[in-house]
Amino acid sequence: MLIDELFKNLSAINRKYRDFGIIESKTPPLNIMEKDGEYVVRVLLPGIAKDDIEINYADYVLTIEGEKKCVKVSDSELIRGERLEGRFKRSIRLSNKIDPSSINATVKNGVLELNMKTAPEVKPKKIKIS
Amino acid sequence: MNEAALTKKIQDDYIIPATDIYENDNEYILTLEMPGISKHDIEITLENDYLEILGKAGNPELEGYRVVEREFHLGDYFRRFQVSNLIEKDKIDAKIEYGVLRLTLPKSEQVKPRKIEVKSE
Repeated sequence: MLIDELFKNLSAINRKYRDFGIIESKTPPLNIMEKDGEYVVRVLLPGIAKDDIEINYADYVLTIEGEKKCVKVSDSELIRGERLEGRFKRSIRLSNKIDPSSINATVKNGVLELNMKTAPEVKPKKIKIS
Repeated sequence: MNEAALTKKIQDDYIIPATDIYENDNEYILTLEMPGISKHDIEITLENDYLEILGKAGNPELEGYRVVEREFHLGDYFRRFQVSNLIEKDKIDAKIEYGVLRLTLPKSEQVKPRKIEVKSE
């Protein structure tokens, strides 16, 4: 179950935000998939340009944030509004098994994709008592 | 298929894109959130007073990957609007950017507001 450990804190982090009641509708949904130690994180960010997305990594926490601005049509009246706008923020706690230098991000058609890899494992070493 | 059955089928088979609708004197502007969809995946049809928008996602899932966390599904999008004779059907404009489709529907002359002069005697 080593692999699931990598993202075990994910739900806890989300719950924390909900407890504060600030991010509820401002946390874009994400999917995480894994294959042979390679991880793909996809985040739904429709309508958000590349330059409006900020991704930071520090102390094993990867944070995706920015602002979603729905295009306001000038001199027009909004007669039906379903889209949400405003600042968004999402954090994922990564295990120390992930190599931060491998994190790569692309955005296409409103879907952000982050790719990352687990670092090569350090073999346990036996230490002899001299 | 009756209206209720059709609505149910659409809800079961498709993702319903969140939509904003704007109106001014000359046009309606619709913006639909369809993440994962490019311009090649969109079909817009206007038939029998219904404007239908279909976004075909194909198979967006990664093959051979294990799901660690899943909060959304990507799939085909569908939404239908009744437009009757309110719009100029030949002049609908559509463009998509960052997974948001923007449709501009010019109003037909008969529904545009106009000033009516009072003729003096």
